[in-house]
Amino acid sequence: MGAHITAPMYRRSLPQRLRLEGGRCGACGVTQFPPRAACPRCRGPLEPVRLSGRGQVVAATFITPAGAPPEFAGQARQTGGYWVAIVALAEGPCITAQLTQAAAPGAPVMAVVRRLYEEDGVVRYGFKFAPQGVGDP
Amino acid sequence: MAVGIAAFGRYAPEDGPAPDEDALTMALEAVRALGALPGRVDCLALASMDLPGRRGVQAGLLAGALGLGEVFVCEHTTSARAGTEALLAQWGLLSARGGVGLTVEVAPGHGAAALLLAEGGGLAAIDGFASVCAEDPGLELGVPDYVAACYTRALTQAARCCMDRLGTGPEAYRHLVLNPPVPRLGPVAARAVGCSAQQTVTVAAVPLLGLTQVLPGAAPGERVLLLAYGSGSACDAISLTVGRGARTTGREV
Repeated sequence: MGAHITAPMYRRSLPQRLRLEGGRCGACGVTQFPPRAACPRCRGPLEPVRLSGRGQVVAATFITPAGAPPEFAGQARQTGGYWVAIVALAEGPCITAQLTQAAAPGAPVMAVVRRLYEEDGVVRYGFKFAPQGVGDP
Repeated sequence: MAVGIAAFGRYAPEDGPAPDEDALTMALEAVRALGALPGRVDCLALASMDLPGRRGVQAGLLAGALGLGEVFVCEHTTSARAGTEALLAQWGLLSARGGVGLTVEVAPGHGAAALLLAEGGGLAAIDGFASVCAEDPGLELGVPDYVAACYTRALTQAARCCMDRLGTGPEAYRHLVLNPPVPRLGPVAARAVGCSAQQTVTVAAVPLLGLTQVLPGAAPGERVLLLAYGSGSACDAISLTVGRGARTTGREV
């Protein structure tokens, strides 16, 4: 069973999906992604903050077509499967996302916007992680 | 102060785009290669033969991903010269009103190029341009001799007009950038324009990809003639002079 994201839900989450917009607590300085209503540590207010997109692979696994959720089934069939990783962002939060190609734990990666899938006639874009290259700004 | 190219970025994956890449994601990659954007971008022009969406402002994804809220967005599509169309339109707008503009051109099967335009942008100056347009029905049928004749005629007419306006000749240009409908027409067209073996001829899928291929290897003071063809038999000839910094970096130094 996949996670059905309606078009309005997708639209509301675009700052996170396209710009990696998280939240930083003004009181204790902890960074959250995705942003929450309040800091889970000290209950302080969170201010929007754009994360750098730089991170490091903590763990990665390969998803075969048989294990892909419905929204990614087409991609898995087309490519024979894809990599998913837990990535520790430079600002602290750990998040789960696809990799554009295989990367071992510890490898430095960079968030890039890619086409994820199409649902309800709306192409969904979001970030994946690619190996950090020499040309990265 | 004249509006020129202040920075450029290029994204051309060696093995071609991945299945999860489209015109919009490649456009974003080209902008990312350009480096950090200034705090304010007034105009965003997206050019591509094809865009992935069926309707609506496709460049909205770019504006959203780049965090550009108050920005004038325009799209130039269904033409192989969409990039120069966008570049000239934006250059004219910025020259009249000032500000900073971002022009991005995508060749869906090849890659993308991004140019940051600003007053005093010193990586390359736009000296001038000339455009021609003719009605040549039947180009889509692909009859080789007919396509070659239409292409060469439009190209030479635009190039000569541009050089006449600027008081230059073919020998003034060190680099020639072309996007011929068939690659083999590149050298033929270069000879027709009057270029010799001393000049480098760059053939690219779309004009701005070709320009960003040339700029890193060009020395300050060298001139580039960008000849873009598309939309039936329309051709833009743009003369540029390379400034300092283009050889070593995609950004003005």
